[in-house]
Amino acid sequence: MTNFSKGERVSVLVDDEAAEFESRLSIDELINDDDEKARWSRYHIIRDALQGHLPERIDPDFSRKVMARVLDEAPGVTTTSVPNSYTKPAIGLALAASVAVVTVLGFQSLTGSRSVQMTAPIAQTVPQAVAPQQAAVVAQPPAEMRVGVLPGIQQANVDESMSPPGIERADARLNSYLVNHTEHAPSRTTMPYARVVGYGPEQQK
Amino acid sequence: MARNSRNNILRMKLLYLFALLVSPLCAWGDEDARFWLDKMTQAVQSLNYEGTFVYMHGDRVETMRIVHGFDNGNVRERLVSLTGEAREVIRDQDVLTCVWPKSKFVVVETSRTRHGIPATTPADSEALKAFYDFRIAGEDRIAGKLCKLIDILPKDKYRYGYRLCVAEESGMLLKSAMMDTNDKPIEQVMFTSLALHDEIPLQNFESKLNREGFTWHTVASKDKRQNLQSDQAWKINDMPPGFAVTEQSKRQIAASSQPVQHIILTDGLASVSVFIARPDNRSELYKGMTRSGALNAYARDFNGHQVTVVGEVPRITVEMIGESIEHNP
Repeated sequence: MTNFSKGERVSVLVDDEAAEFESRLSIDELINDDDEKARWSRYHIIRDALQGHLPERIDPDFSRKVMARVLDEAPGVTTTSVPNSYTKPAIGLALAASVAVVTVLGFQSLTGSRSVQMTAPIAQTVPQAVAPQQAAVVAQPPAEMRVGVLPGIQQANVDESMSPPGIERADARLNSYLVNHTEHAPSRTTMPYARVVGYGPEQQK
Repeated sequence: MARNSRNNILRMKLLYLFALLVSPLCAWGDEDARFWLDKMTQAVQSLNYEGTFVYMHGDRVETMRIVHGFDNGNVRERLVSLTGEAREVIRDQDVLTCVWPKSKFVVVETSRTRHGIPATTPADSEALKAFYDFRIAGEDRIAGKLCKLIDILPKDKYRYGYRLCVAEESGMLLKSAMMDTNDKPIEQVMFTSLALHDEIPLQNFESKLNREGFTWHTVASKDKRQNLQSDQAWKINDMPPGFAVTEQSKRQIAASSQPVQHIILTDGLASVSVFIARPDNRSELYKGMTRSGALNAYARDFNGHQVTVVGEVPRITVEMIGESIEHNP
């Protein structure tokens, strides 16, 4: 934990991730630092909100305060999850938008090449004029025949033997399906593309 | 006579006063909640707005900026993540562009309108009554705007509930929460700032990212933007009450070398997509369940076809739909 920034250490503390000795050190620092005390308070509120420990009806002032404080955080700091990504294995599939992570591997697998990166500008990289088969993302011929599993699986029937490239391919297709689902069957009750832009694996509980 | 007349006038005034007092209570019913839902659906699509909202799912809190424009039936939208990696989705009438700067990837999918499918219209909210209870739960103030709190409660275990806060003046959705079957929020969106405009300059929809050196994945050829003949032999034999197939199409998508059949089911609020494709090889098949926020996904192999069911519905619903799929030529 000593490699973490102060903010991350407070978050680790809030998430009960710190060892006892580290906790003592951090708490000592926290007591002597007003900013860190305020951060501690904010993280607790956010954690409780996320874990559903807050009252069912939250007064308007409360939600405004929480959100204002979330926005006050420096850009790039995802307040609750940064420490988790170091300290807990992320079991969940980054189905929503984790296209950011999985697409890299997944699409590279799908293209059958790990060196598909192009350096030309956009207009030149989109192969408008090429034949359909060339334009398509082509799957690499597999080494053996077997059925894989969805990443982030929650069932018992996990095929542990599935190779990483297989999982990557499944991720890439799942994320593409998510984008297509959002475009063609958009939800009426939320900002539909938030799921596509939203990042990262969820902690499965 | 004059006295009687005065009494009548007094009685009339009292009645009028009583009606004024009672009418707002009557309006706070099911019908009024559905009115606000329809108004919100229309506003989210047809207003011009820019704003910042917070998206919460699982253990994550993310902040996003949205620019949304509507002009002559065409929707333009730019959504960019303000926390962490500046991921971005840009929609126009032709394409949907997803940009992942950290991995230097751009994924381009064809838009719904490109396939000749009109933008979504509000479902028949009257029909929703059979599967959801609607009620106005009060008022709140979000992003400096007064809004109506609307509870939508599912009548069975096959769909989620919703808590919405809809701006009283504009009808814009200011806050939404999807509630699981235990009435716990699983996914929430809340605006922290929102500005409505008559018009939004086109440059506000343009990506500010330098995309040089990015790898693009796209369904680029003209032919692939067309709908193919869908295979009508695919049948869903079992689905929760109230759900119906509303669309079937077959097209190329960026992540699949083979055309994908896309079947959409909805109950008017919740939607489920079924994707069916035959992979190049059986080793590419995957199976199982996964979840992210309110979204559940179920995958299976059906005679060498990959069947993937995705929707903002409980696990039991995607499972039921996925397991009942058959191909009956």
